[in-house]
Amino acid sequence: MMHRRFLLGPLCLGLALTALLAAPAAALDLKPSVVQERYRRVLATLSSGTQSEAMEQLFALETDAVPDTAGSIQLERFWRLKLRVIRDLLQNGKLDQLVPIVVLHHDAFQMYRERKKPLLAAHSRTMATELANILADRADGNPQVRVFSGWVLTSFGSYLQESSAVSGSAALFDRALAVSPGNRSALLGLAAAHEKYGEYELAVPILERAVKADAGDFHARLRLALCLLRSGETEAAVRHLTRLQIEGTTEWIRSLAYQEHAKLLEADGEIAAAETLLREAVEALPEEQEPRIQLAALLDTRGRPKEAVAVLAGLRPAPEGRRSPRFLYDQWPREGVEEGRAKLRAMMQERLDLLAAALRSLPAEGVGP
Amino acid sequence: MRRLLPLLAAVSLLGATDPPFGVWIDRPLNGAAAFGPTEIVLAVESSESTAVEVFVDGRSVGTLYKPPYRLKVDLGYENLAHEIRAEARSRSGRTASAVVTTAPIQIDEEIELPLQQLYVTVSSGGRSVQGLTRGDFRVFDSGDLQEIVTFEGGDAPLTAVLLLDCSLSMAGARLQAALRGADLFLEHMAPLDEAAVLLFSDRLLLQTPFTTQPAQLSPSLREVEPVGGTALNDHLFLALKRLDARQGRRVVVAFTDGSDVHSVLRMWDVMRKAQISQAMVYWIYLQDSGDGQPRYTTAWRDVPTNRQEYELLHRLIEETGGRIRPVAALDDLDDAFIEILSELRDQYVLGYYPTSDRDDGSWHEVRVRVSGGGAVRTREGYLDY
Repeated sequence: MMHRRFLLGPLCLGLALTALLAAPAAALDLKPSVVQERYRRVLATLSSGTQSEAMEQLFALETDAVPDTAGSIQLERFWRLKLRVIRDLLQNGKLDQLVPIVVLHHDAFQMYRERKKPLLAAHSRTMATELANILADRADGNPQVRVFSGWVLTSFGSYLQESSAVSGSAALFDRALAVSPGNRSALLGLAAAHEKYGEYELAVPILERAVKADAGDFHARLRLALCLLRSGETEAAVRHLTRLQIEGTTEWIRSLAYQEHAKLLEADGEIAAAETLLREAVEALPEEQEPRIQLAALLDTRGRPKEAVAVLAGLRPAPEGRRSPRFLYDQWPREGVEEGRAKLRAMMQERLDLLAAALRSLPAEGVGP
Repeated sequence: MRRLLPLLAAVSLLGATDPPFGVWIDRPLNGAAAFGPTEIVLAVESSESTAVEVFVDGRSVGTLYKPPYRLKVDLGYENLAHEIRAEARSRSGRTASAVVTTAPIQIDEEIELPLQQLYVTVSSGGRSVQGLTRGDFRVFDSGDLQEIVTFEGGDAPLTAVLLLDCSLSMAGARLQAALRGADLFLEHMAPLDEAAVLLFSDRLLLQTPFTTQPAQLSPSLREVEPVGGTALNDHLFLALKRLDARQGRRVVVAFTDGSDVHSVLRMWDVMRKAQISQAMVYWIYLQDSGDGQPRYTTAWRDVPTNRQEYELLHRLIEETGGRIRPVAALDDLDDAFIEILSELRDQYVLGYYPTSDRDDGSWHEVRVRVSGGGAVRTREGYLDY
């Protein structure tokens, strides 16, 4: 159910090497041999377990090599120089030893964003996602590596979602699901991207998959209900909304289930039923502002202003930190993403020895350009 | 007729042969609610020169020596009963008195007045036209000429709700500028004006009571941190609803840097509210990030729906007789707040009882004509409930 816009051509090592041969040379601020030597040192520092130091060395190397005004050819050349080191490592060890390198560049993305280096941030994202794709493509028989790749892609998908780069994020989520079908964050992220484009029919099967995998996933169920509603599948939508009103464990999810169900009733002219439902919401969720406002408006604009005043008498300003259900829903669903990032780092720690061993087996001098 | 009203106490100390002597309080009515600036209207029957001293809650507020026996007082906006007493004494020493007691209203009680009030701005060549009289105006309700029963110039007190966007995009200089503008608005209000402030983001963050003491409002406003998204529709509805229970000239002055994103109410719902309300809506819009036309999509609305909401907001504002005041830069905000207050001051307030009061939810189109020409801006109509 992949949308054409979201197609991301998986970059395999072969393609990367083809590019290596075909791309024209472009000048960097450092000699190629220096780049490769310093990159190997960065990886050696990483393998010794001092990631923060490795990050600083990487920052120094990349800012020395790539001017702020670098074009795509320079960046590609820089990438190919590092890729040669990685290729040499792969020839001398297992696929798993790439894991720490991917995490290094994954974390470098955030570092560059914080240090206002957008060019290098984008470069880090490209490196990490392409390496994750290479890992996934060659990970037959190694499900852990596929899960790892899925998390890397999901993590960047989430970063892009936060930046409202919907199309790019959807492509990454799509790819993440292709390599790791059970990744719930990628499922929610992809569904949210379809929602953002108004492609509710495309979001429905993705969310059904999430709900089928976990019937207690109320966030996915709410999104499913709303996408069904917008697709015209009213009966099924109401079934989910009613269930969420009763079973939902999170107040904002229950609140939205009440609000949307009442809106539907009101639109259908079932005013008394809408009023009953909203009164139930106000009683069940007294701190929620929106059902009160919705009920007050329903009463007020139907000639019952005094009752509206009585309903609003219970309206209290929101406590600090409490956001509205619609705001929370409108945020990209980042649930589980931080957890996934923590898993990436844990997997990195477990594979540092492999990386160290692979580095030790490299010839003393780097490979030329 | 007046003397038949049992609540208007009249006391005459004279014998049957003496000429009649007495005092009555025609307004406010006994048992009715009275707030804010209130005119006390007395009737005195006496064949000789008579002085009437008026007391509110036991305090003397003035003495009248000749007709018309009318006195303006400020009863304040606390929801209290007030005792109004008039004591008349003639030159020959005859005395009489009358008392009425106004009643507080229940907090959820609406004051239902069939009187329709129009706030009318008249301008010519971009300048406000002042000095017009009742006779200069003609009011048409659903095409029918109406009798103007109340008429006031710009000194009529106003009640305002300042509705300020406190979403995350307002953080820093924007919010500071908005609060400074709101402060200026409050400081420049006339003594009998009152205001409340409502800060919102995707939720209601703070609302103050109505007060005529603006200094009481400022400190609490500065405790709110900008956060979250924007739910303009919901909070515009709340602001209009809060004005329901106020009397006289009512206005919402909203300031945002963006359109609605996170409301449960559609602008259509708010529009219905505005159409049964008598309040005006002014919108100060910070346009430093574009022309204000929404070009975004959210999980709740696509771009065309967002645009439709935006257009409805424009229509709502026009229908209420308010206007949109775009602000190009933060430095212009102060001027915008003051300009709106000045404009409100220059308005004429016309009141009439619609000849076709139907209470059926139908739309009454309102037109105001002014003799001698000039551009007239007022609400375009109302829903008759």
